[in-house]
Parts: sequence; structure tokens; C-alpha cells
Amino acid sequence: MRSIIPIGPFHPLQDEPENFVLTVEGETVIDIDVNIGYIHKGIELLAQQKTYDQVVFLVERICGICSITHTICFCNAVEDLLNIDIPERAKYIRTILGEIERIHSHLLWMGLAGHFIGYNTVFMWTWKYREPILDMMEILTGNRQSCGMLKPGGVRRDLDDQKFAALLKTLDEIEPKIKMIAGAVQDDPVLKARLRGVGVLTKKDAVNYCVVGPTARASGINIDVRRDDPYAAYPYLDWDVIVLNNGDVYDKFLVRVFETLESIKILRQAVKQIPKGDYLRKISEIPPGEGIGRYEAPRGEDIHYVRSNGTNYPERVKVRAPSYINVPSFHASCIGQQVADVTITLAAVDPCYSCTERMISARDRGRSLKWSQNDLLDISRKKTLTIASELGVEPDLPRLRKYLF
Amino acid sequence: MTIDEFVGQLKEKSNTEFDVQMHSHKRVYIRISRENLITFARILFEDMGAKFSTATGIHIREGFEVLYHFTFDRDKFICTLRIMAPHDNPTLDSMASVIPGALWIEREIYDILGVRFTGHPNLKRLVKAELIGENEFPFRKDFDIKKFKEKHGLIPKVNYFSPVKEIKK
Repeated sequence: MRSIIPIGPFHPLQDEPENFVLTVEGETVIDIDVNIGYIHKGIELLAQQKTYDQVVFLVERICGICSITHTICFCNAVEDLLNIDIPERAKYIRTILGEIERIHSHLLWMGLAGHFIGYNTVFMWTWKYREPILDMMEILTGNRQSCGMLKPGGVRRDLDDQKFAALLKTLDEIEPKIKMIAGAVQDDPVLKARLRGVGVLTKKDAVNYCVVGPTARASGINIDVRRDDPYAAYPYLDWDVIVLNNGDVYDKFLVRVFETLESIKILRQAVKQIPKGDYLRKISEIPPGEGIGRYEAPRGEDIHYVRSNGTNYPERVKVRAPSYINVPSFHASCIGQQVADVTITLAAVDPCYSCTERMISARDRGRSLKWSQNDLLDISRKKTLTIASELGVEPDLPRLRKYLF
Repeated sequence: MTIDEFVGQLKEKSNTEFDVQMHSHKRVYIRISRENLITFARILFEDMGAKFSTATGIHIREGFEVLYHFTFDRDKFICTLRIMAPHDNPTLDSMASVIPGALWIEREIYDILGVRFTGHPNLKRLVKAELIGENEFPFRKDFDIKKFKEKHGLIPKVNYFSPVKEIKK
């Protein structure tokens, strides 16, 4: 017997309105339809009524957490139209801001993924580690999000070199914690049971649906715009593109964890190498023509197309965000799965961790703290090992140990 | 493969003539007629291993111009196919049978610009709000935004306060 389960457009577990219509036979999904358009803001049409300087602020507001992404992408498109190069310092500043954004965005996704499978410890911890990164953004630019730093031809304001020390210190504090999460994810039998082999997107489907970003890289497609169409300061820096082959949710999780570590590596080099000097190239006129800008957003390749007719207002601005091309691949990855796996919403068994934030403040009748963070870590590690031995699963040797140690 | 080599290979494989506009060493624009669209899509996507990124629809004086952006990630350039659909018959062949990744963007261009894609399995609206009619296309140049807002009462109401008179004692 077939039945239809509508999820959304408004659902407590969704961050944004979107409508999934699942056709199920028993517990197995046999068809899925995705409807969007509930928050269509008409930004492309609005951009035609604004000057180039104003469009920068408009595209910054396309997405709540990808403010740097769309702005750099639009600037890339305008610079491609003019066929110009920007000052070196501006390139490094763009790289630094973009990588800070990548770290916080990946941490946000990891937290949400943990939350959706009912693993709230991951949710609490990653979001806790995300805060100092956002604070760094505020220290450097003056705002946690939508900082208004970019402009075609460079950056609008300079960064203060004195403040990089604070950034390096935060990175030093964050790095062991992300490595700890990476190790925990790879050792945890529960996460593995819940994520491995779920929602597999094969390489063939990934090519056919043209997916981008971590979704493609987890399916074994070796693409990264930072390397394939270099912009900003990435050609001068040394870093790796993480590619895994299984295509399931587990590999997507791992790709994001390791990319966060790569971002930290990039940031350290960029802060060390950043040159002094000019940070904005003046653009006085935009001739008729067209340009395409690309940017590796945290979720994949972002692409903007700009056509100019010689006036102050763009003739057409086209924005293709990475999720737009990744979401239709649900047709390939969801069909044949169980309902619980498809939505990744129904809670998995959560046997070993308790809510960390609450535990840290547990006091022993007015004396000192009962458990410190390290004690808690020890407890959870021991418990993970016990569960693993009870289930008969060996703690998996990290496949990508070289990135960790 | 550089762009020049790519254009040579494309001419050889497609056996047709086309205009080439070289923008820089990373971007090339190719104008083809609309009958050849599927042939070119097959050559680029299946033979040459390009990734279909997106398509852009623009309303210009001569008709509706649709640009298909294909990215070559290994060779570091973008090839854009430029195709014109005339005013009196705005139809194009659908690429969705060759490239499933084009399913949504064709629906979007149909939705906002009114270009029909023949052979699309599910050509329905994607992003447009429900109060915009089936035959009103906001990205056409003859779409009057002001009139539309007046018709649906979307113009914000602004109350002006009259200036306070000075009170004489």
C-alpha cells in the first residue's frame, strides 16, 4: 500500500521552509518530490534596480550564514567582466574572511547533523566551539555576520595586523577540539551504525546531477573551485582537497570535519604571509560586457553571472547557490531508503552521552566542580569503548590519520 | 586542454560552424543555433566530461537569450553556450534527458521568463509566488512592477505627520 507523507513547508525540525513529499510503501521511500519557493525574495530582479556598489550589500543578504560567500563571488564576477587583478593584500584578506566563514559553517552543519540523528552532544559541543570563531569575525571586522567588508576591486576596509594574534590564539584553542570530534566520530559505533551506508549517492549519480562541494567530494569526485579556478590567495598557499569515496552521510560528515582542519591550516599560512600595502583598486567605469564569478562556498561551488550594459546598473545578475544543484540529487540518494534515514530526523538511540552543558555546572554541595571537561571526555571515551566491545565492533582506525596528527 | 584546443575539438566533433567569443584565458562564449542544443550538450557533458553549472535567461531586444554555463574543472575554464529563443516562439529543447542536473533550472527559467522546454518531464512552476499569474513573467522587460504592486495592494502605506505648529503665548 502506498501512502504520501508531506514534510513541511513549516516543520519544527526544519530551519527554513521547504516541502518534501515522500511517497512510501511500508517504511521504504519509493518517490520524493521537493518543492521550494516559499522564501523566494526576488533578489535577482531587485539587483537590476541597484548600482554595483549597492548590489554588494544586497547579495550579502542572500543567505544568513554565507554573507562572505556571495559577496566575494559577485566581486569575482565583476572583476572577471573588467578582466582586472586586485591588490595582493586584498586577496589575503578575502582568503582569511572566507576561511573563517568556512570553519563556522562546517561546525554549524556538524551540530545540526548531530541534532537530527538525536545525538545532541555533538550539537552542543560543535556549537560551543563555533562561538569563538564568530567572535573572531567580530574582532576583525566589527560584525559577526554581514560585515560589509567587500567591494569590487578589493576590500572596503583594511584589517588591523595587531588583531591576528588573537585569531591565531583562538585557532590554537579550537584545533585540538575539532581533532577530538574527528577522532570521536571515527571511533563511535553509534554514529557509524546511524550514518554509514545511509543516503548513498553513487559517483555516477553525483556526476549526472552535477553536485558540488562536500557532497561531490564525499562521492569521489575531485573538484574544488579554490584549486580549479583559483581566486584570492589560494594559489600561494599549501593545502589539500579532501576526497572520500563512499558517498554516504558518514563520509560527508568526515569530509566536513577534515576540511575544517584544512581551513585552520590555510588561515595560519595566510596570517603569516599577508603583505602590507594597498587594499583597494579604484574602479571608475564598468563597460558593457559579461562576467562569471566562481567561489567555493562551504556547501560547494557558488556561481554568479553579471551582464553590464555600460550604465551604473547591472542588466542581469544571476545567482546559483550550491544547494540549488545539490538538493535535486535527493532523487538519487533517497529512493529505497527507510523513512527514518531519509529525513534524518527520527531520533537514534543515544546511549552514552548526556547533555554536556548541564553536567559541567554540576557542583558538589558548594565545593569545587564535580567534573571538569577532561573528566567528562574520559567518561565518554570509556563508555564508547565499552559499547563498542559489547556490540563487537572494533574501534575503527582513523582512515585519514595523516590529517589528524 | 587549452581553450583553443577545446574549440578545435568541438568544431571537429559537432561538424558545425559557430561563433566563438574569447573573453579571457578562463572564459569562452559560443553562440549556436537552437536546433543543435542537445548535440552540443551531449558532446560537452558526455564526451568531454564537463560539469553543467547553471543556466541564465535574459530578455533582450531580439528575444530570450539562454546561457548554459559548462565548467571544465580539470582544465580550469568555463564554456558558455549562447542560445536565442525568438519572441514569437519561445521554445527550446530540454536538456534534462541528457543532464538530470538541469531539471530545476529549466523549470525556473520557464517560471520567471516564460521559455518553454519541450521534452521536460515535469515542467511546472518552481519559485514564483502564487499571486503572480501563470502568464505573467517578472523577468520580461514589459512586466510593470509598479502596476503589479498597485493591483495587489503591495505598496507600503506611509503616514506623513503634519508639522506641529508653534504655539504662541
